[in-house]
Amino acid sequence: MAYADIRSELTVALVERQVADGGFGQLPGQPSRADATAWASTALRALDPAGSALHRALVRLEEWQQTDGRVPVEPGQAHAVWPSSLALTAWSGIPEHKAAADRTASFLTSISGVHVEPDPEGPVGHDTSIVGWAWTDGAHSWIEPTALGVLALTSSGRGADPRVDEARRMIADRQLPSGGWNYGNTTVFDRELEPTPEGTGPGLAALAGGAPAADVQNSLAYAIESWPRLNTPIAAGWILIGLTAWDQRPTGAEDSVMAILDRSDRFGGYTTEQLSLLALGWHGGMP
Amino acid sequence: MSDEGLTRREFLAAVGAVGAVAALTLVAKGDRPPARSPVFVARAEAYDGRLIDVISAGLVATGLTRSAVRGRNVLLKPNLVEPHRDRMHINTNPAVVRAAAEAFRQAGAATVTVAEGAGHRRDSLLVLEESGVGDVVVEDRLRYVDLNTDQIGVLRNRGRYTDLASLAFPTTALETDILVSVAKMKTHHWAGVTLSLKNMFGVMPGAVYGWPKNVLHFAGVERSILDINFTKKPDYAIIDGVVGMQGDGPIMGEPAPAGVVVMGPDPVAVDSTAARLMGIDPQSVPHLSVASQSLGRLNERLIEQRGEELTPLVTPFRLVPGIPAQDRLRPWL
Repeated sequence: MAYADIRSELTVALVERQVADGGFGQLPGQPSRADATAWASTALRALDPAGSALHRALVRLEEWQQTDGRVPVEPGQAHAVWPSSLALTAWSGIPEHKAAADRTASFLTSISGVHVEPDPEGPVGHDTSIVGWAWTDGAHSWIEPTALGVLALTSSGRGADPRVDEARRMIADRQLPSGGWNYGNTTVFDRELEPTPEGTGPGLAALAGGAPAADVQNSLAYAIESWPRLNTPIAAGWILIGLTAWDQRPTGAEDSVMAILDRSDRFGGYTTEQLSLLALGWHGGMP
Repeated sequence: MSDEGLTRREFLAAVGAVGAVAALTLVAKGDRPPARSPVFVARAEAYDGRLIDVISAGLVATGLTRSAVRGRNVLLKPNLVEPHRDRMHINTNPAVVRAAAEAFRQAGAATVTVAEGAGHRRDSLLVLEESGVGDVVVEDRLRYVDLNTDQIGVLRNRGRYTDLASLAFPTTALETDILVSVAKMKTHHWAGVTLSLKNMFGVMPGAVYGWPKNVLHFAGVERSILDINFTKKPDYAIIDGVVGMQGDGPIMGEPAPAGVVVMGPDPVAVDSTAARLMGIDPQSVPHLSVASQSLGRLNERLIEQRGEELTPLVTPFRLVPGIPAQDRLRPWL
């Protein structure tokens, strides 16, 4: 299928589920929620940056922003701050959303979660002192929210912020000795854990441009090895984002994206998050 | 101390998902448990079609008759932690999910939904596919719901073993008529064992609690297990012990062919029986011990054993010396 056709298919699949208030729910017919809207907005920045659907979604996203800049999953779950990075990415570079983007960037650089000096006798193998970003305010840093934070600050022109550098160090520290990442633990009780595609993609994407290729060779090898068997949108989307960031995009990626899109009815339809990550994988990264 | 007031031990525990077990001096609260709880134990040495008969018999033997199931919406919550086609002892086996779904359908259930909120994995569909449960969902035309991204309903925390005032649950779990925890029989390096009560961790939405359910880990695994189950107790428990996991569970352990299925309406009684079948003292598992004071029955005298005799089926699961949560599980050693 032609490049333009895939863009169109993905765009339509997203836009047709947009809620009347401009936001997105995770599934058609559900009320809008900030996380789904943040994912859809980020994807639409890549798919259809001039479209009215994006404009309405970005406005709706601002309505969820709290005074300190955070954009939580739901207003009543203010600790669940991870959509903030996606919101920043979606707003970045658009003059009418500059104030919102600035507030969220300030929020992201102000939160640090919970970290302590590493304990050599402790059960976990990573350096628990290095700060990235957590899924939830007040928790420990993990791979995907940290990668989303790096990508958001970088895409909004804040790549030189010291938090970006530290976050990359944190991601590098969490890389598994054999290659790849999972959610963010390396060893537990001296047993090396296993990588996952959806952990490895964000790790690779966040380190691109901030680490030498030699540092991620094992992870690239794991991603390349994983790619042919992936047929689900989150894993495939993230691996494509990660490999593209290192100029290792697999041949035939577009056909694979379409094949995955065609499987969407297998379990009753993809969530907005799944569709969005597939779209971002097709695009090859964050907008 | 960290800037959040946690001690280093508590912090490291939370990072690794350890509950602050040593500090678990909990007061029982909640409703009075049933006077006696039926638990059905069946010998099941293979993942084959006979499991449907086993589970159907177990439902009847423990009081979940056709009249209790007919017209009801049933939610099966399997334990899908990490997907590995070559390591089927990690997750609830798809044959058990299929058998449970069919047994409930034969009992007259209006709908059967399979739902999970995988704790470690962000790609729930990949988990579903590689666990083999995806094929069951498709072939048997079951509905599937990703609990991590489902809509949210908030309930007052009825346990209050953690400091969390309320808990966010997926609406699918709140609205179902019969919530079934379809767990795997495993040892666990943080909680000692993971059975039907621990399996309820996977109900909690990752979108709110993070991956792997960070907020609940920081609040304490054992305490969170209690809060979740005091607030939304499963209506029924089925444990896949055909091939369980021993050693460094819940992921890195080795197969434990125990050859059993354990089931019943009281998850504490079911878990306590499963623990005994694993050669583990259920009283030594903190969340079971506390839950037994008001959520369900642990004491053998208060459990109506149905099906097979317990003693011949006991298979002592290997424990890992030096893992604190497992060191305490056999106090007689």
